[in-house]
Amino acid sequence: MKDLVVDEKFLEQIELLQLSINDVLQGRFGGNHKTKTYGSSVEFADYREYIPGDDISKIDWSVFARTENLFLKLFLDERQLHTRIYIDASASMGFFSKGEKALELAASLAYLSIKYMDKVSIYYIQDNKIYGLLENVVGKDSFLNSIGKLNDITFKGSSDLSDAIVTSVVGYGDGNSIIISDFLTDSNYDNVIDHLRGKRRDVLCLQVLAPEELNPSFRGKVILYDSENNQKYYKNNINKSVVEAYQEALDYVTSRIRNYCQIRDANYLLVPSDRSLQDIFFKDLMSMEVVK
Amino acid sequence: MSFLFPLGLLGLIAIPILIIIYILRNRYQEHTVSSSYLFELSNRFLKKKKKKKRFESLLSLILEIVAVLILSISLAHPIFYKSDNAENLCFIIDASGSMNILNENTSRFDLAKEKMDEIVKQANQGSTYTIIYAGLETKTIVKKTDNKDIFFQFSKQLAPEYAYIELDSALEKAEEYYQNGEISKLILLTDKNYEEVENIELINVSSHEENYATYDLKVKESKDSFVFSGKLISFESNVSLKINLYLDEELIDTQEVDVVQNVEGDYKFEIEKVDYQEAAVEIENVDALSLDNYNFIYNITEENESSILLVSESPFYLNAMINAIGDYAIKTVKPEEYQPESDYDLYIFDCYTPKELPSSGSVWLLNTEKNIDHTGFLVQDERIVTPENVITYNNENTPLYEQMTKDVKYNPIMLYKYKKYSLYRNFTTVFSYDSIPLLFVGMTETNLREVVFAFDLHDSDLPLLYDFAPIMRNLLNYSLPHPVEDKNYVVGDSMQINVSNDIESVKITTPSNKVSFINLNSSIEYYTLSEVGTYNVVVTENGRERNYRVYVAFDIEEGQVTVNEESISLSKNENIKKNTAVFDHLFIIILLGAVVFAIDWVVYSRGQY
Repeated sequence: MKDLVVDEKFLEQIELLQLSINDVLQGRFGGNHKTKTYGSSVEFADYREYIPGDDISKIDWSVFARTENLFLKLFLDERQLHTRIYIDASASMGFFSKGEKALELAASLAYLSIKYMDKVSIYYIQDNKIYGLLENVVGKDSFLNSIGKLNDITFKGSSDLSDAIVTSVVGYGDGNSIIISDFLTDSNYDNVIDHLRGKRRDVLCLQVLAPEELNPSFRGKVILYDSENNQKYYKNNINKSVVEAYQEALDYVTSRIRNYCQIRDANYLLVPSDRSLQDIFFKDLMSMEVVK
Repeated sequence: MSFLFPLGLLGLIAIPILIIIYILRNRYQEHTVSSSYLFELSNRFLKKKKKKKRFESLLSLILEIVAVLILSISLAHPIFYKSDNAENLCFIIDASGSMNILNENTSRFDLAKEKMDEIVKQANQGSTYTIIYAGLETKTIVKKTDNKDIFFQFSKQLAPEYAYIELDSALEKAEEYYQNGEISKLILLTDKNYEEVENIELINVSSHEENYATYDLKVKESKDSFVFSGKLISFESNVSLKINLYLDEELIDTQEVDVVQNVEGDYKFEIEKVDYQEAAVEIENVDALSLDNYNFIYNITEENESSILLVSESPFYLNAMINAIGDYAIKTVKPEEYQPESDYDLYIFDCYTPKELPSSGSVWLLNTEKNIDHTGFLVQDERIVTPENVITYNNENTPLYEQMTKDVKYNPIMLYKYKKYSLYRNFTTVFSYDSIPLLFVGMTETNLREVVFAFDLHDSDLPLLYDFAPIMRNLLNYSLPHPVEDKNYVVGDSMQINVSNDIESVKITTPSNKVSFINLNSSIEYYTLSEVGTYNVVVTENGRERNYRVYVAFDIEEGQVTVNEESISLSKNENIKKNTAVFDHLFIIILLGAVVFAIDWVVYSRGQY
């Protein structure tokens, strides 16, 4: 697999984009995301009379000097979110250019969060374990210095999204959880989506599939070994009817995850690995209002 | 079955190769894929067609094997044989005049050729083809050829004639071939109907198109008028025919004549006497055959008038008789005035002996007293007739004698004296006395027509007898032959051309502008008139050209296509055998192979894509 090269021009292009957050923010102070509650950011919102027990540090002494009444200065609450990106690092993602596309997506989406002073964590999942690659990265410089670590990922083995993510710290109501995988599995993403939504996190599932997977070119008698498990193979004479059945199976799989996400108020996007980032961000994600 | 190129069967080796390829191709190819999940899941959506799939796969192999098999056989070029399936076909094609009749711009003859070619095209290979052309002369155009292209080439060149033609000769020829076993089937292509046809396949190309005809045009001359008369007929219907008379291409008169089908009608035009060169009668009604709708008659007497030089002391009898017989230009001179000249058609030396014969023309020598070179006889002496002897006609059975004695009544001739000539060349003696020739005709050594009287007309009563006129007319006709005497013929006739010593050439131009020159080897030549229309005959005689126009009419017999009472047949021949048919359908085999390949491709593609 080719090493990830950060395309600075593309990053400049998405400079003005922002990841949407639908759920009530529970993040830490200091971010750029305004909440609907009053908080302690620097942006002035209103005054109210002092009530015993209030934090005296928020008393506006200049107003007291003029009026000899105690007023508290209220600010809009701006919180720092934590975007967590999970990359499926199983062997199946290493085929074709799926892994490459997954890393590009992860880096670009992470940049969107970094730009808004959010924290970003990027994890990769192999077997049933989750490995932190970048954790709690804040700030552009820090991000750019550490993004190269994405190239440390080796796509191998299998992946159990459910076991890996559910057992990890996923935060609560403090931002986006983005899962980048081919989701070529029966249903081990169900628990993850449920779990993340239960933690009031916005969920975005990006299903990366190669053109060869969308429209296989195999014909004739073949034995197809699964890259994640050599004991698993598919043996058949691939002809028109098999290809038709494959297409039906593909439709079934993509529809199933799309529908599941829809029900759970999560976002879903099928990403062909040969689709450009420009199209993904400026057409697909924007139309879904995942970015704005 | 045999193969032209048996080595082509080596292609069958491809069949085991194909099977090996099939087996190899059907081995499972191993690949590693990112995930077999979707393929496994596809089994849930796969319709159960395993048996059909297996059959389709096998069908593809079977089709490929069949295709290779067909291809190999094609390369070997198989020839199939089937005994007694090829005929020895013989076509008699009627080339008579009525075959020119048009039906929607195609003549009956062309239709016959088309039908003939069609039969040959469809005939099995191994058949042989013979064409008997029933024209003026029955000809076998091609005999027992098995090459269809050659047959078509000959067929293409055939053309109908214009004459009435009996098919008997062609049928006799076919009968001969049939009895010899050279043909097995006879097909007659004609427009005639027959009462009974046995052992012959008759293809009638007649559609009973309207056809009228005029024929037998004659002209009678009276003191003040000409009467042109002739016959008319309509072969298919009762009709009113409009007849036009033209003199020198100018319309003179018109009349309408009602004609009953197949019943001869008459017409008659009586007009004031005028000079003309050409008279024509035309049926104005349009029909399927225009050739028999007009008749011509030519008046050529004046332009070809003969000239006679008569050298005589007392020319009364001869002058009177010659003038009475015909319109000749006679110049009479006394013997002492005679100077050898060469511009006359006939020289008559009456009781005068010229020093030498003229160089051209014909010559009459009456009572010659001295020998003249090249005459073919010698003068011996003068003799007196004795009463007991009589003049006798020789009664020879030769054409020339019959010509000389035509219309003669053999009146007894009185004679007082004569000269005895001894003949050293062959002459035809008309009459003699005591076996001594008195009147004989023949050719001089210089090839001039010669008439010799061995007596003076004044010494006999011949000029006073009835026979003098026919004898003189016959002698003049002999001595002044018109190269072309009859001016009206029916197609198929032979035109007689009288060849005198003075004729240098005879050029004949046919109605279709074909030019031919007649051989001048004998005194009478014949030319077969095979076209309808006006022939131009140009006779060059002593440097002078004489033009004759001869009209050749369509044979009226040809219009009648219904021959009700006639039967035609071939005698049965039990020994007739057919040929072995050869079937060489390489193209069909290749096509079949291509179709099988195409089906195989469709079956394969259908399974794969």
